[in-house]
Amino acid sequence: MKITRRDFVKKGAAVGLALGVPASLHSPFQSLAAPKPTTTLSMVTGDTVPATRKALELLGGMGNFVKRGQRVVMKPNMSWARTPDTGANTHPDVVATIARMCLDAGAGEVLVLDHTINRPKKCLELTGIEAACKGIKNVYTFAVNEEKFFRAVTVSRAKALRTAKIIKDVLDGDVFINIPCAKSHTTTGVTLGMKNLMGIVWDRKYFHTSVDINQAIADLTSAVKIDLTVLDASRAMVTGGPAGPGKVTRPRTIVAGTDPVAVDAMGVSLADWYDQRFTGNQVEHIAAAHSMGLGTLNLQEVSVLKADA
Amino acid sequence: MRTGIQLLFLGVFTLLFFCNGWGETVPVPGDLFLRIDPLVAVLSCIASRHLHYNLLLSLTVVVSALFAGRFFCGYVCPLGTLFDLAGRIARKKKRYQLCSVKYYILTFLVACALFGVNLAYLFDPIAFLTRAYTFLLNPAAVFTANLGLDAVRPAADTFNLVYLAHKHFHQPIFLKSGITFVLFLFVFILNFFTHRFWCRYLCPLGALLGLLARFRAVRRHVGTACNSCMKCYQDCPMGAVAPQPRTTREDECILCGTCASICPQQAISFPPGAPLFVAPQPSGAAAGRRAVLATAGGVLAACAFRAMPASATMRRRLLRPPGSVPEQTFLRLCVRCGECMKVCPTNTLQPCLFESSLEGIWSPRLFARLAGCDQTCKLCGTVCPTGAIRNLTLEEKKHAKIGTAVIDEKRCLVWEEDKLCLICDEQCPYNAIVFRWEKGFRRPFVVDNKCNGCGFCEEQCPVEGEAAIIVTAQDEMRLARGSYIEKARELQLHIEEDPGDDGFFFDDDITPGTLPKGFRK
Repeated sequence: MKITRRDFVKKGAAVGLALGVPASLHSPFQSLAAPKPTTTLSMVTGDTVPATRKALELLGGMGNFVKRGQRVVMKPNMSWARTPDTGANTHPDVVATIARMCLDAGAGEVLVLDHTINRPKKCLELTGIEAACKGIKNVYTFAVNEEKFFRAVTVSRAKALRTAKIIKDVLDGDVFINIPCAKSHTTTGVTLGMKNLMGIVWDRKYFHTSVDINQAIADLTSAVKIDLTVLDASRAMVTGGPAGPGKVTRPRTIVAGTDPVAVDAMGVSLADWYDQRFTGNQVEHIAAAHSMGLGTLNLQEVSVLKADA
Repeated sequence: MRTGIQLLFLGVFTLLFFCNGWGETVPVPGDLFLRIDPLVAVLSCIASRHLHYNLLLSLTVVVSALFAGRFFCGYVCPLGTLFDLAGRIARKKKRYQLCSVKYYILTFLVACALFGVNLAYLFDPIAFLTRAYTFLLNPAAVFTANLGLDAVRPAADTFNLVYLAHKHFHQPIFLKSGITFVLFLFVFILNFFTHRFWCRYLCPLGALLGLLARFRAVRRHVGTACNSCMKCYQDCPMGAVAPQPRTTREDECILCGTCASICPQQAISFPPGAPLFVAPQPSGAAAGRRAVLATAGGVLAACAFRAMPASATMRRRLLRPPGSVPEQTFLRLCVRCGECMKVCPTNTLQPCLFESSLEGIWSPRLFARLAGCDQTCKLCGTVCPTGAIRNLTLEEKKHAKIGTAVIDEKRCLVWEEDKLCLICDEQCPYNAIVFRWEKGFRRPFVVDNKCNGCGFCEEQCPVEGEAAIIVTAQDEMRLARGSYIEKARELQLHIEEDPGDDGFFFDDDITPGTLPKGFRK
């Protein structure tokens, strides 16, 4: 059979369509438009308590993270002797709500702790976290401000922070939940989940004086098993952080997820920091964690379960 | 019975000491004993030329002395109780002809006070013991308690007692407390010469009460059964029985009743009677001479103390607790009890040695390199028994400017080494540290009228050894009365929480297009 030039082009095109072209043309478009999600975040806007509950329900409920009889260690930001309206600490309602959900899921006990920056007594008092957790049985709220409660660990993947002394309870507990608030930060741009981990470390000064703090935060993230991060962006201190006072906006949003990098990247997008808009990729410590493979800052790769509460 | 009362008062004294400042809001009269101490009250009033209401409280002890002589010494004084307890180990009955020394000491103190130098703290037993509690007992107790907690920690972990497993008390430390230790030890060792050596021969409070005791109503009565066996003379812990056992030295007797209990004839009793003036012991010309000498000594000492002011450098670094009254009055009022230092939650309050001249020994000062002054606390003023540190509200206290931070450009990492350090700025609660463009780099400056001298910048400065930013007494605010807030307004101070000047980073004149720290393009 004589194959005309026209036939050749037609057939060739058909073969090409069947074999090569779909792979070479269609696929890149698909990856741009709807890539395979690597992680899931929940993001709920609304009043603090229902938003917190909803955010965890969207992730399948607390039962996915906490098993019967386990010891849960929660690390809110309660480092500053300031009241909830200043936005300097995690909102007490968020902490208490998560604690209750842990207990409902069967947790043996819940430890709410932080290595506070201001005087422990005043931090526990003014943040309202102690009072919010006081009536709940098996929930313990305290500051960990003595070196003997920390244990040195080697950070095997570290680029800057080779070893760190970390609160023993965090290392030894069954479940670790990081509950940061959303703030600007004079040194690291923002302080969200990963930066909040500096509150489980004994020697914070070392981060500031001796190493690249952004890389060290990423290293620290690699050193602990973070089962869940719940970002309290009910308020965001967009200037004047971390101590404040500063400008406080109200995104009224709770973000929860297992990927610490993705939660932070999402957190960056929730407010205008210093009156500017940034992406997670522009925050040095988030970018450093991403490049270490600790999670993803590309929100396109993240499946976000949004809801209102 | 008497030991029971003594232990009760010692217990109350100790309990009040430890409870002082504990709850922060619970009003505990932790300084109750100091407030009722007539020696402290009288000397403070004379030295400061100011009638303090403590004088009223101390009337309770004065009345008790008029009624029952040195009852306070025998039953209430916690130092006396400690001596009695020590006396159970070594009961020495030797006598020295030194009873009048305490009167000379009292004369000396009053003479000093008249010349404006309050040395009550040197010899007052309550101030002495409170200081020993602060510098020695409290740190030791905390240390022991923490050792105990460490010991039970494994058990607490096993039984899931979470709070117990994480309990720890902040360990206070006090510089130069060795001096207090040596003095304390010395006063106790004196008991090995004779029982209650201090109370018999040295205590000026005992002397003051002894003076009042000459009018006492309750007196020792020796009945006719007395056969002059001299047992009471030998056993009296105060040497208050005269060589003629029927007579009593009323200014020495502390009503302990030892004589009554050991008298083989049971001839001794302590019946209440009508107040009666007892003529003082006949004093010879020698005593008069010594009294004159003591007065002269007091005057001389006062002059010497006043003539040895602290050097200008020391004065510059001397930071008093916020709300301290003007220095001269402060030194006259402060009884060096150490209560302020005991309750200070950050331990920044430390005793002076010679930082504020000889006169200021053991007075409190801020040691900012050790810790800053907590801005949520005002305890030092709350517990001060003499008002040397005023009891202010938190807002007033914030404006009671302690001093001003100064940057040592030769040591500062930014000024000297062009490093990107901003720890002092981060620490400052009032944003008194700002960065300006200087010599091609962003460098820290102190805004004087925003700084209240809290000292957190100095504490946290990462430079080794002495900080590169130090708080000096410059522009400190010391008001005897009136509002610090109003004074601050008058002086155009702006000590307020400040959102900060993060805008600096975007100031186009300085660094065009620069992103805030921590961000990248």
